[in-house]
Amino acid sequence: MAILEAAGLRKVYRGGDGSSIEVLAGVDLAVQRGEFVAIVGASGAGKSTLLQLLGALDAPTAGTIALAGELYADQTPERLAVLRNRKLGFVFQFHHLLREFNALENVMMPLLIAGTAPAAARSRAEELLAVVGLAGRMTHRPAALSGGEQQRVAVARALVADPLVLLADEPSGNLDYHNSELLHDLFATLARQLETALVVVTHNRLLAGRADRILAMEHGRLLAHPGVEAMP
Amino acid sequence: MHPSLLASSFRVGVQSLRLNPLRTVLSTLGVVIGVASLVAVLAVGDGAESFAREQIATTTDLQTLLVVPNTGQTIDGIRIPRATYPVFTLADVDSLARALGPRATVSATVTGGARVTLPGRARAAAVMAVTSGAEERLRPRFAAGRFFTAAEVRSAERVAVASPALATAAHLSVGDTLRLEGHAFRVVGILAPAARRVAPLGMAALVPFTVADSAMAPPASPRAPQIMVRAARVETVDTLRRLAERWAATRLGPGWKDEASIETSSPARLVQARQGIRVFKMVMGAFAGISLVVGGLGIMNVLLAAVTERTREIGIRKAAGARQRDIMIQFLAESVAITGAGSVLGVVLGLGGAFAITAVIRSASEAPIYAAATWQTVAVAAVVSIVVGLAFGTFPALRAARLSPIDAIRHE
Ligand SMILES: Nc1ncnc2c1ncn2[C@@H]1O[C@H](COP(=O)(O)OP(=O)(O)O)[C@@H](O)[C@H]1O
Ligand SMILES: [Mg+2]
Repeated sequence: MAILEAAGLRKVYRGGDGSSIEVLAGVDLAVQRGEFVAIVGASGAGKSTLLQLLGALDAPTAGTIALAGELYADQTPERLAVLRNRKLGFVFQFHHLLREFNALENVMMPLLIAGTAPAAARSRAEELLAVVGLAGRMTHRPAALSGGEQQRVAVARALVADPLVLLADEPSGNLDYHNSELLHDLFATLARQLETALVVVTHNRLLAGRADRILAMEHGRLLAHPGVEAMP
Repeated sequence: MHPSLLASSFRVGVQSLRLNPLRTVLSTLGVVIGVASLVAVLAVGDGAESFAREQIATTTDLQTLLVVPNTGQTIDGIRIPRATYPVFTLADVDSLARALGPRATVSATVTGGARVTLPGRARAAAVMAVTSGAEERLRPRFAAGRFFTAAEVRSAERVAVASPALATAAHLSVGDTLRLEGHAFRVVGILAPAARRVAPLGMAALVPFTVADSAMAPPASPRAPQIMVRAARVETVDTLRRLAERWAATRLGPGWKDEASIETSSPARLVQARQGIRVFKMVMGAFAGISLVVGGLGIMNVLLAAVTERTREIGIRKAAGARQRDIMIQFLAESVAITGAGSVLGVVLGLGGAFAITAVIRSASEAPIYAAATWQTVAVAAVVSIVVGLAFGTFPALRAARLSPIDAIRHE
């Protein structure tokens, strides 16, 4: 059974002038437990929009999404929040860290929201920051971190609560070769060993090459992609 | 909600205050200024009002009611003495005081003269026998000693308060014995020369009402003590008059108007004084209202600015799984901390400002006006800042928390 399943997803944005654009025109997607799916597509194709819907950060105009058999549409806002907190991890295209909090506090945040004791949350967050190679940067505020480091803190925050599915929007977009390889190794490990499903939007051929499947976003639909060889 | 969850949302709120000291200080400052201006206006207003009331109380008889026995009647311009008339006693003072309640102090006075035994030539003094309530009306200032107490009046102690002239003539000091009509009175107090509002400035003595007979030479007809009612506020004089009339009807029967009269200052002057106070209160109320609105808007403004700026933060928290109530508790905690600290500082600053303002007014006008720090002022300021602070600290957060996480994050 698919861990994450979307059917007939449509998203229509209404512009300020009353005109509407259909960004998603019926997307179907099924992601298996531990599967690594890469999504590619031109800028403005609607990749971020799809990821946000899958991450329960926004509601679709039509269609259904289910995580581990639970339909989003059936959930109260309360239950949906718990779902985001415990079962989903989201890495934004722009890191979206809280700028007043240091790296450690940012990573601890989801656990504190979940009600984990601060001491336990802290040691778990320290562990995750060490995994993404930031053991020495824990007390830095986002402004004192490089773009790559900020993105890795965001990855640590997304993973800290052991989600079933990690959704990442161009996570290695800002990283140099070495750092993106670190991140790609981490993603591969997650998928293979911890059975965390990954849905990653990327332009990075190396990352897409490690995926189990590559899908292309075109004209509001997801299509099978021939493979990295066909990527620009 | 689990207490540790609540505690952690609360901690998050307090932590974000600590992590952004500039925003915290600015928000708190907004509350401080709002509360301080409100408190200052209220405290100065209360001070000015009590100054005005003090003026009315000390320089006019507007707040005094007299219950006078009718010892005679005037017919064709000729005064005809009445054979009998009511003689008020200490028991009457007590029962009238009970009838009037705490809005008034009641006292009785009877006057006469007494020979004073001094070495050398014979002297005399005016004697006023009064109940202890008269102290409130006479407001005597003492060079030494004190007024006699209610207990001393009740147990008919032979004690006396001497006027400056009498004290000088008889070489009296507190504790000495003064002989009035041959009876020994222990001197408990000596009035100061400039004793305000005290009539007996010549040779005079004040003694307890209950020892009038031994302190004065015997009169031709029975003494006719008067009862004086002093209203605490000029507004209550009419009510007190009605109550006193009802008391007189009970005490003296339905035809009481032949037996005694109840006298007040002219109703027109009372109306004037009351009008003056009402206008004053409404003007001060308008000022307080304006500063309330200004203060409230100030608080609202800083909190609104902070929340708008933080909609993105709310979105990020929601994306990480924060529920609406987690957000609410966080912002509630922040608002409580800010308005709490701001109110305390604001009250202190406002009172300080009010005392400074009245000090300036005092030195410029020589009017003894002092800012008044009342619990009502503090309560009004606290309620305003709590209501405004909580409403505007959390309402915009509630609105932001209702957005989808992505809309909140994208918020400009
Ligand atoms: N909140 C929004 N309101 C209106 N239009 C939007 C909104 N978000 C995205 N869009 C539009 O939807 C299209 C897809 O955007 P997006 O999903 O970010 O594309 P991608 O991530 O593939 O570059 C773009 O044309 C973008 O302008
Ligand atoms: Mg995008």
